Amino acid sequence: MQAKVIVVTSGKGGVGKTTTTANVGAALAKLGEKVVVIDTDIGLRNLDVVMGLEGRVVFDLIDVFEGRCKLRQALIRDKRIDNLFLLAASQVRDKSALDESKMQITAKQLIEEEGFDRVIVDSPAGIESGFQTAASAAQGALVVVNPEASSVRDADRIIGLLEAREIYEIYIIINRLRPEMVQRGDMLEVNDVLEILGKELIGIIPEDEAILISTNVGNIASLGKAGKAGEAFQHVARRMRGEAVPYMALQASGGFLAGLRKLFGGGS
Amino acid sequence: MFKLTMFNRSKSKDVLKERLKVVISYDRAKISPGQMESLKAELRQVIMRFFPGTEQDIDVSIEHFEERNVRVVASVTTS
Repeated sequence: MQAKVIVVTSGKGGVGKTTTTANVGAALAKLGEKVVVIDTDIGLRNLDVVMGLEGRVVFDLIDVFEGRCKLRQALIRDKRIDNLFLLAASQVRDKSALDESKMQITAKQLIEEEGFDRVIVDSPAGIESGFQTAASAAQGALVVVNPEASSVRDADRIIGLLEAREIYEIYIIINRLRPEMVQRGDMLEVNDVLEILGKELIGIIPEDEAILISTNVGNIASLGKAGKAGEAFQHVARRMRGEAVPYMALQASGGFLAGLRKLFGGGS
Repeated sequence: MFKLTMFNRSKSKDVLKERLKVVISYDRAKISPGQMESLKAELRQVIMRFFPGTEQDIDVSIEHFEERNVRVVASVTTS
Protein backbone atom coordinates (compact mmCIF):
# COMPACT_ATOMS: atom_id res chain seq x y z
CA MET A 1 0.00 0.00 0.00
CA GLN A 2 1.30 3.43 -0.95
CA ALA A 3 -0.81 5.14 1.70
CA LYS A 4 0.94 6.31 4.84
CA VAL A 5 -2.25 7.25 6.65
CA ILE A 6 -4.61 4.29 6.72
CA VAL A 7 -8.04 4.07 8.33
CA VAL A 8 -9.23 0.74 9.73
CA THR A 9 -12.99 0.67 9.43
CA SER A 10 -16.05 -1.57 8.98
CA GLY A 11 -19.33 0.24 9.52
CA LYS A 12 -20.61 -2.45 11.84
CA GLY A 13 -19.28 -2.67 15.38
CA GLY A 14 -17.64 -5.69 16.93
CA VAL A 15 -16.08 -7.13 13.79
CA GLY A 16 -12.47 -6.64 14.92
CA LYS A 17 -11.34 -3.13 13.94
CA THR A 18 -9.39 -2.50 17.13
CA THR A 19 -7.82 -5.97 17.14
CA THR A 20 -6.84 -5.48 13.50
CA THR A 21 -5.37 -2.02 14.20
CA ALA A 22 -3.26 -3.33 17.09
CA ASN A 23 -2.07 -6.45 15.29
CA VAL A 24 -1.35 -4.89 11.90
CA GLY A 25 0.29 -1.84 13.52
CA ALA A 26 2.50 -4.04 15.70
CA ALA A 27 3.39 -6.34 12.79
CA LEU A 28 4.41 -3.34 10.65
CA ALA A 29 6.56 -2.04 13.52
CA LYS A 30 8.17 -5.46 13.87
CA LEU A 31 9.09 -5.20 10.18
CA GLY A 32 10.95 -1.99 10.99
CA GLU A 33 8.42 0.75 10.21
CA LYS A 34 7.91 3.59 12.67
CA VAL A 35 4.19 3.23 13.38
CA VAL A 36 1.60 5.15 15.36
CA VAL A 37 -1.88 3.75 15.96
CA ILE A 38 -4.59 6.30 16.75
CA ASP A 39 -7.81 5.50 18.58
CA THR A 40 -10.61 7.79 17.35
CA ASP A 41 -13.43 6.08 19.26
CA ILE A 42 -13.88 9.02 21.62
CA GLY A 43 -15.72 8.04 24.80
CA LEU A 44 -15.30 4.32 24.08
CA ARG A 45 -11.53 4.04 24.23
CA ASN A 46 -10.25 0.50 23.80
CA LEU A 47 -7.09 0.38 21.74
CA ASP A 48 -5.05 1.15 24.89
CA VAL A 49 -6.40 -1.89 26.73
CA VAL A 50 -6.13 -4.17 23.69
CA MET A 51 -2.45 -3.24 23.45
CA GLY A 52 -1.83 -3.54 27.17
CA LEU A 53 -0.92 0.16 27.43
CA GLU A 54 -3.88 1.36 29.50
CA GLY A 55 -1.71 2.24 32.49
CA ARG A 56 0.42 4.64 30.47
CA VAL A 57 -2.18 7.04 29.10
CA VAL A 58 -1.58 10.59 30.32
CA PHE A 59 -2.66 12.76 27.40
CA ASP A 60 -4.96 11.81 24.54
CA LEU A 61 -5.95 12.84 21.02
CA ILE A 62 -8.44 15.46 22.20
CA ASP A 63 -5.80 17.00 24.48
CA VAL A 64 -3.67 17.40 21.36
CA PHE A 65 -6.57 18.83 19.34
CA GLU A 66 -7.39 21.34 22.08
CA GLY A 67 -3.80 22.35 22.78
CA ARG A 68 -3.45 20.98 26.32
CA CYS A 69 -0.27 19.14 25.41
CA LYS A 70 2.27 18.85 22.66
CA LEU A 71 1.74 16.07 20.13
CA ARG A 72 4.89 14.31 21.30
CA GLN A 73 3.67 14.26 24.92
CA ALA A 74 0.59 12.29 23.88
CA LEU A 75 2.54 9.61 22.03
CA ILE A 76 2.72 6.50 24.20
CA ARG A 77 5.65 4.28 23.37
CA ASP A 78 4.91 0.55 23.28
CA LYS A 79 6.59 -1.48 26.00
CA ARG A 80 7.71 -4.26 23.61
CA ILE A 81 8.76 -2.47 20.43
CA ASP A 82 10.27 0.99 20.62
CA ASN A 83 9.14 2.07 17.12
CA LEU A 84 5.45 1.49 17.90
CA PHE A 85 3.36 4.27 19.46
CA LEU A 86 -0.22 4.77 20.57
CA LEU A 87 -2.26 7.96 20.48
CA ALA A 88 -5.20 7.20 22.77
CA ALA A 89 -8.80 8.39 22.50
CA SER A 90 -10.30 10.57 25.21
CA GLN A 91 -12.53 8.56 27.53
CA VAL A 92 -14.26 11.56 29.13
CA ARG A 93 -15.43 13.39 26.00
CA ASP A 94 -17.72 12.48 23.13
CA LYS A 95 -17.39 12.45 19.37
CA SER A 96 -18.32 16.12 19.06
CA ALA A 97 -14.76 16.88 20.20
CA LEU A 98 -13.44 15.44 16.93
CA ASP A 99 -12.46 17.80 14.17
CA GLU A 100 -11.54 16.88 10.60
CA SER A 101 -9.07 19.67 9.98
CA LYS A 102 -7.29 19.01 13.29
CA MET A 103 -7.12 15.33 12.40
CA GLN A 104 -5.51 16.19 9.08
CA ILE A 105 -3.01 18.55 10.71
CA THR A 106 -2.11 15.96 13.35
CA ALA A 107 -1.57 13.23 10.74
CA LYS A 108 0.61 15.56 8.71
CA GLN A 109 2.72 16.44 11.76
CA LEU A 110 3.13 12.79 12.67
CA ILE A 111 4.58 12.05 9.26
CA GLU A 112 6.48 15.21 8.46
CA GLU A 113 7.72 16.26 11.89
CA GLU A 114 7.74 13.08 13.97
CA GLY A 115 8.99 10.90 11.14
CA PHE A 116 6.37 8.17 11.21
CA ASP A 117 6.27 5.78 8.25
CA ARG A 118 2.70 4.77 8.93
CA VAL A 119 -0.30 6.23 10.77
CA ILE A 120 -3.01 3.63 11.40
CA VAL A 121 -6.34 5.15 12.45
CA ASP A 122 -8.82 2.94 14.30
CA SER A 123 -12.27 4.20 13.34
CA PRO A 124 -15.36 3.99 15.56
CA ALA A 125 -18.32 1.96 14.31
CA GLY A 126 -21.02 3.76 12.36
CA ILE A 127 -21.02 6.11 9.40
CA GLU A 128 -21.35 9.42 11.24
CA SER A 129 -18.88 12.08 12.38
CA GLY A 130 -16.57 9.69 14.22
CA PHE A 131 -15.99 7.61 11.13
CA GLN A 132 -15.80 10.69 8.90
CA THR A 133 -13.12 12.27 11.08
CA ALA A 134 -11.16 9.03 11.27
CA ALA A 135 -11.21 8.83 7.47
CA SER A 136 -10.50 12.50 6.90
CA ALA A 137 -6.71 12.21 6.89
CA ALA A 138 -6.52 8.78 5.26
CA GLN A 139 -5.14 7.96 1.84
CA GLY A 140 -5.95 4.28 2.19
CA ALA A 141 -8.31 1.98 4.08
CA LEU A 142 -8.47 -1.50 5.51
CA VAL A 143 -12.11 -2.60 5.62
CA VAL A 144 -12.65 -5.35 8.19
CA VAL A 145 -15.47 -7.71 7.28
CA ASN A 146 -16.88 -10.77 9.03
CA PRO A 147 -18.37 -13.26 6.57
CA GLU A 148 -21.97 -12.69 7.68
CA ALA A 149 -24.98 -10.70 6.49
CA SER A 150 -24.90 -7.40 8.39
CA SER A 151 -21.12 -7.00 8.32
CA VAL A 152 -20.93 -7.46 4.53
CA ARG A 153 -23.79 -5.06 3.91
CA ASP A 154 -22.29 -2.40 6.20
CA ALA A 155 -18.85 -2.86 4.63
CA ASP A 156 -20.38 -2.07 1.25
CA ARG A 157 -21.84 1.17 2.62
CA ILE A 158 -18.50 2.12 4.16
CA ILE A 159 -16.66 1.45 0.88
CA GLY A 160 -19.10 3.78 -0.88
CA LEU A 161 -18.43 6.49 1.71
CA LEU A 162 -14.64 6.03 1.47
CA GLU A 163 -14.83 6.38 -2.31
CA ALA A 164 -16.95 9.50 -1.88
CA ARG A 165 -14.00 10.87 0.12
CA GLU A 166 -11.74 9.99 -2.80
CA ILE A 167 -9.99 7.23 -0.88
CA TYR A 168 -9.38 4.57 -3.49
CA GLU A 169 -6.66 2.38 -1.97
CA ILE A 170 -9.16 0.15 -0.21
CA TYR A 171 -8.44 -3.44 0.83
CA ILE A 172 -10.59 -6.07 2.46
CA ILE A 173 -9.61 -8.04 5.57
CA ILE A 174 -11.94 -10.98 6.15
CA ASN A 175 -11.92 -11.55 9.89
CA ARG A 176 -13.28 -14.40 12.02
CA LEU A 177 -13.49 -16.87 9.20
CA ARG A 178 -14.52 -20.34 10.36
CA PRO A 179 -13.13 -22.87 7.89
CA GLU A 180 -15.36 -25.71 9.08
CA MET A 181 -18.49 -23.61 8.44
CA VAL A 182 -17.23 -22.54 5.02
CA GLN A 183 -16.62 -26.16 4.14
CA ARG A 184 -20.19 -27.05 5.15
CA GLY A 185 -21.58 -24.27 2.96
CA ASP A 186 -22.85 -22.34 5.98
CA MET A 187 -20.47 -19.39 5.76
CA LEU A 188 -19.68 -17.12 2.82
CA GLU A 189 -16.47 -18.06 1.06
CA VAL A 190 -13.71 -15.50 0.59
CA ASN A 191 -14.53 -15.10 -3.10
CA ASP A 192 -18.24 -14.59 -2.35
CA VAL A 193 -17.39 -11.61 -0.14
CA LEU A 194 -14.95 -10.15 -2.67
CA GLU A 195 -17.44 -10.60 -5.52
CA ILE A 196 -20.16 -8.79 -3.58
CA LEU A 197 -17.92 -5.94 -2.40
CA GLY A 198 -15.89 -5.54 -5.60
CA LYS A 199 -12.62 -4.85 -3.80
CA GLU A 200 -9.29 -6.62 -3.40
CA LEU A 201 -8.29 -8.85 -0.54
CA ILE A 202 -5.32 -8.25 1.75
CA GLY A 203 -5.96 -10.70 4.58
CA ILE A 204 -7.93 -13.70 5.78
CA ILE A 205 -7.95 -14.00 9.56
CA PRO A 206 -9.36 -17.23 10.97
CA GLU A 207 -11.42 -17.25 14.15
CA ASP A 208 -8.83 -17.96 16.83
CA GLU A 209 -9.16 -18.23 20.61
CA ALA A 210 -5.55 -17.11 20.90
CA ILE A 211 -6.64 -13.56 20.02
CA LEU A 212 -8.96 -13.35 23.02
CA ILE A 213 -6.38 -14.94 25.29
CA SER A 214 -3.65 -12.51 24.15
CA THR A 215 -5.97 -9.54 24.61
CA ASN A 216 -6.92 -10.77 28.11
CA VAL A 217 -3.35 -10.25 29.25
CA GLY A 218 -2.55 -7.18 27.14
CA ASN A 219 -0.44 -8.98 24.57
CA ILE A 220 -0.64 -8.51 20.82
CA ALA A 221 -0.91 -11.82 18.97
CA SER A 222 1.08 -10.70 15.93
CA LEU A 223 4.07 -9.90 18.17
CA GLY A 224 4.31 -13.27 19.84
CA LYS A 225 4.67 -16.77 18.57
CA ALA A 226 1.55 -15.94 16.68
CA GLY A 227 -0.98 -18.74 16.32
CA LYS A 228 -3.00 -18.78 13.12
CA ALA A 229 -4.63 -15.36 13.47
CA GLY A 230 -1.46 -13.65 14.66
CA GLU A 231 0.40 -15.12 11.72
CA ALA A 232 -2.36 -14.01 9.34
CA PHE A 233 -2.02 -10.44 10.68
CA GLN A 234 1.74 -10.60 10.09
CA HIS A 235 0.98 -11.58 6.50
CA VAL A 236 -1.32 -8.56 6.12
CA ALA A 237 1.55 -6.28 7.18
CA ARG A 238 3.91 -7.88 4.68
CA ARG A 239 1.36 -7.58 1.87
CA MET A 240 0.88 -3.89 2.77
CA ARG A 241 4.61 -3.52 2.16
CA GLY A 242 4.26 -5.01 -1.29
CA GLU A 243 5.36 -8.56 -0.58
CA ALA A 244 3.39 -11.30 -2.37
CA VAL A 245 2.67 -13.56 0.59
CA PRO A 246 0.66 -16.67 -0.27
CA TYR A 247 -2.54 -17.20 1.70
CA MET A 248 -2.11 -19.90 4.29
CA ALA A 249 -4.09 -23.10 4.34
CA LEU A 250 -6.69 -22.94 7.08
CA GLN A 251 -8.33 -26.31 6.78
CA ALA A 252 -6.70 -29.49 7.98
CA SER A 253 -9.27 -32.05 6.87
CA GLY A 254 -9.52 -32.87 3.17
CA GLY A 255 -5.95 -31.84 2.56
CA PHE A 256 -4.44 -28.39 2.70
CA LEU A 257 -4.87 -27.56 -0.96
CA ALA A 258 -8.45 -28.74 -1.14
CA GLY A 259 -9.19 -26.76 2.00
CA LEU A 260 -7.63 -23.60 0.65
CA ARG A 261 -9.45 -23.91 -2.65
CA LYS A 262 -12.67 -24.43 -0.77
CA LEU A 263 -12.20 -21.25 1.27
CA PHE A 264 -11.72 -19.15 -1.82
CA GLY A 265 -14.57 -20.89 -3.59
CA GLY A 266 -14.54 -22.76 -6.86
CA GLY A 267 -11.39 -23.95 -8.53
CA SER A 268 -9.21 -20.87 -8.15
CA MET B 1 -37.15 -21.85 -2.14
CA PHE B 2 -35.87 -21.86 1.42
CA LYS B 3 -36.36 -25.57 1.89
CA LEU B 4 -33.80 -26.89 4.31
CA THR B 5 -34.28 -30.62 4.32
CA MET B 6 -31.79 -33.14 5.58
CA PHE B 7 -31.13 -34.32 2.06
CA ASN B 8 -30.35 -32.09 -0.84
CA ARG B 9 -30.13 -29.11 1.44
CA SER B 10 -29.46 -25.81 -0.29
CA LYS B 11 -26.39 -24.15 1.14
CA SER B 12 -27.33 -21.35 3.53
CA LYS B 13 -24.39 -19.27 2.29
CA ASP B 14 -25.75 -19.32 -1.26
CA VAL B 15 -29.09 -18.02 -0.01
CA LEU B 16 -27.27 -15.25 1.88
CA LYS B 17 -25.13 -14.36 -1.13
CA GLU B 18 -28.18 -13.83 -3.33
CA ARG B 19 -29.99 -11.85 -0.64
CA LEU B 20 -26.95 -9.63 -0.11
CA LYS B 21 -26.57 -8.97 -3.83
CA VAL B 22 -30.16 -7.76 -4.00
CA VAL B 23 -30.11 -5.64 -0.84
CA ILE B 24 -26.73 -4.10 -1.68
CA SER B 25 -27.94 -3.26 -5.19
CA TYR B 26 -30.78 -1.26 -3.65
CA ASP B 27 -28.36 0.34 -1.17
CA ARG B 28 -25.99 1.42 -3.93
CA ALA B 29 -28.73 2.69 -6.22
CA LYS B 30 -30.22 4.58 -3.25
CA ILE B 31 -33.67 3.34 -4.14
CA SER B 32 -36.08 1.50 -1.85
CA PRO B 33 -37.74 -1.75 -2.90
CA GLY B 34 -41.07 0.13 -2.84
CA GLN B 35 -39.81 2.85 -5.19
CA MET B 36 -38.41 0.14 -7.43
CA GLU B 37 -41.87 -1.43 -7.67
CA SER B 38 -43.33 1.93 -8.72
CA LEU B 39 -40.58 2.35 -11.31
CA LYS B 40 -41.30 -1.12 -12.66
CA ALA B 41 -45.03 -0.42 -12.95
CA GLU B 42 -44.47 2.87 -14.77
CA LEU B 43 -41.84 1.40 -17.08
CA ARG B 44 -44.17 -1.44 -17.97
CA GLN B 45 -46.90 1.00 -18.93
CA VAL B 46 -44.56 2.97 -21.17
CA ILE B 47 -43.16 -0.15 -22.80
CA MET B 48 -46.66 -1.52 -23.41
CA ARG B 49 -47.64 1.69 -25.22
CA PHE B 50 -44.92 1.00 -27.77
CA PHE B 51 -45.12 -2.79 -27.75
CA PRO B 52 -48.81 -3.63 -27.31
CA GLY B 53 -49.60 -7.12 -26.12
CA THR B 54 -46.20 -7.76 -24.51
CA GLU B 55 -47.32 -7.51 -20.90
CA GLN B 56 -46.14 -11.01 -20.04
CA ASP B 57 -42.79 -10.48 -21.72
CA ILE B 58 -41.53 -7.40 -19.90
CA ASP B 59 -38.93 -7.88 -17.24
CA VAL B 60 -37.55 -5.06 -15.12
CA SER B 61 -34.81 -5.84 -12.64
CA ILE B 62 -31.98 -4.29 -10.66
CA GLU B 63 -28.65 -6.03 -11.06
CA HIS B 64 -25.48 -6.13 -9.06
CA PHE B 65 -22.84 -5.28 -11.64
CA GLU B 66 -19.08 -5.14 -12.02
CA GLU B 67 -16.87 -2.41 -10.54
CA ARG B 68 -19.32 -1.71 -7.72
CA ASN B 69 -21.94 -0.48 -10.18
CA VAL B 70 -25.60 -1.33 -10.25
CA ARG B 71 -27.78 -1.33 -13.33
CA VAL B 72 -31.49 -1.31 -13.82
CA VAL B 73 -32.48 -3.44 -16.78
CA ALA B 74 -35.79 -3.42 -18.61
CA SER B 75 -36.15 -6.07 -21.25
CA VAL B 76 -38.96 -6.78 -23.67
CA THR B 77 -39.30 -9.96 -25.65
CA THR B 78 -41.27 -9.50 -28.86
CA SER B 79 -42.09 -12.18 -31.33
